[in-house]
Amino acid sequence: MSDFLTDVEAAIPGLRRYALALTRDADAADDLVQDCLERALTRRRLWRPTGTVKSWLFTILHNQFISDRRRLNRRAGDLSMDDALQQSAADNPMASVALAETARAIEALSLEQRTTLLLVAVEGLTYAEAATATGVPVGTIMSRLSRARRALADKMEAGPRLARVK
Amino acid sequence: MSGRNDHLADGDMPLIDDIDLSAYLDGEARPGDRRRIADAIESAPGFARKAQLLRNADAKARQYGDALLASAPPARLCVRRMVAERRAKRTRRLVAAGVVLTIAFLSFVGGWIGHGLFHQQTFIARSFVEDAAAPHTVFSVETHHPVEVTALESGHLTAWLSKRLNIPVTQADLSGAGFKFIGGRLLSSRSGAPAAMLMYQDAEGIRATLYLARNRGAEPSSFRFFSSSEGRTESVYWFDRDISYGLTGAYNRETLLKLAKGVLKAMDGA
Repeated sequence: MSDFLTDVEAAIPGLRRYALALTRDADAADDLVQDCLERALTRRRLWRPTGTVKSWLFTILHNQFISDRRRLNRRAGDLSMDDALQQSAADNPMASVALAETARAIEALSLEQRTTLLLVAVEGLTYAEAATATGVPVGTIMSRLSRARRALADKMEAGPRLARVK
Repeated sequence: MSGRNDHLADGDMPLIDDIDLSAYLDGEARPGDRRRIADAIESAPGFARKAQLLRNADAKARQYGDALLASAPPARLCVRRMVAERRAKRTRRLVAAGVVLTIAFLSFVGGWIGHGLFHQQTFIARSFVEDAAAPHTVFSVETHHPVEVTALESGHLTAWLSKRLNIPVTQADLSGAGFKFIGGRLLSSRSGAPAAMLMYQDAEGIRATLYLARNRGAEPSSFRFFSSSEGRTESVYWFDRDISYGLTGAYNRETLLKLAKGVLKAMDGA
C-alpha cells in the first residue's frame, strides 16, 4: 500500500517530464500530472501487479492527454523550449545554445515520435510498456523510435554546419 | 528527413535496418537477430558509428528531458497529501452521512417515545379527572352528611389530610368568589392511594368539590376542562409537580376557572 505510493512518488519526475514534452506548458503539464495522479488514486484497486506502477501511470497520463488533447492543443506551443531555456543562458551560454539546438531538434519531431523517444530513451519504458501507454502495437513503437533517433542524429550531424551557413 | 545514405549509412549493411539497430540498442532486438547485429557493429566501422549516433540522440533526449524538469514539483502534486485529502473528504462524507442517519434515527425514536408519552399523559389526566369528578356526584347531593369533618374543625381536617396524602393540604378561602367552605373527607382513588375532598357551596347552596391527590406521573400543566359524560357537571383540573387538582361543579367554565385560580393562589401561599 505504501509501496504503491512510494512507486507513484518515484514516477512523478518522469510523469512531469513527459507531460511537459506533451503540452510544452508548465501549468498544463502539472495539471495533466495532477489529473493522472488523482485518477491513479481513484483506480488504485484496479491496478494489478502484472506490470510496473510506473508504466501504468504513463498509460493513464497518456490517455488523459489524448482525451484532453483538443483543449490542450490550443495552448500547446505558447511557451517554447527556447524561451524557457533562454532564462538560464547567462549562466552557461555554450550549454544553453547547445541545449536550445537540441530542444529545437526534438520539438521538430512529430508528436508521436517525440513521445515515443521520451518514453523509451528518457523514461526507460520497455517497448511493450510504451506500446500499452500509447495504445499502439510494438512494431509501431519500433519504427517511431528508430525514425526519431535517426532524425535527431541527422540534425545533430547537420546542426553545426547549418549554424555556420546561417 | 534525410535519406538513410546521407550521413549514417555506408553501403555494406543492407541486411540490418535502422529499426533492428535501434531495437538492439534498447535490448529489444529479436533473439535471433542479436548475434548478427552485434557482429555488424563489431566488424563494420560505419555501423558502429551509426550506433554511436543513435546513442548520442538518446543522450540529447535525456538532456532535453532534464532541462524540461527545471522546477521542483508543486505542492499540489504531493501524492501523500492527495491521499490524506481524499481520506479527510471521505471521513467528512461519512460523518455527514452519520449525522443525517443519527438525526433521522433520533427523530424516529423521539417521535415514537413522544407518541407513547402523549398517550400515557392523556391516560393519566383522564383517569385523574374521572376520579376527581366522581365524589362530587356522590357527596354533593347529601343534605346531612356531605362531608366527614366539617368546617368547624377545619384545622384538624387539613392537618389530617396533609398527613394522609403526604402533601400540604390547605383550606382555600373562596369567600371572595362567594363560596363558603363546608368541610371535607378522606377518599380512596382508583389506584388505591388516598385522596382528599374539600367541599364549598355558594349562597344558593350549590356545591363545588375540590379533589386533591399526590401527583402520580402527570406533567405539570395549566388548567384543563372536562365535562362529565352526563353533561351535568364541569371539571377544571391541573397538575403541579407534587399535587393533582380537580374542581367539579354544576357551573360554567368561567366560574370554575375563577374558583380554580383562588385555589391555586391559596395553595401557593401555603
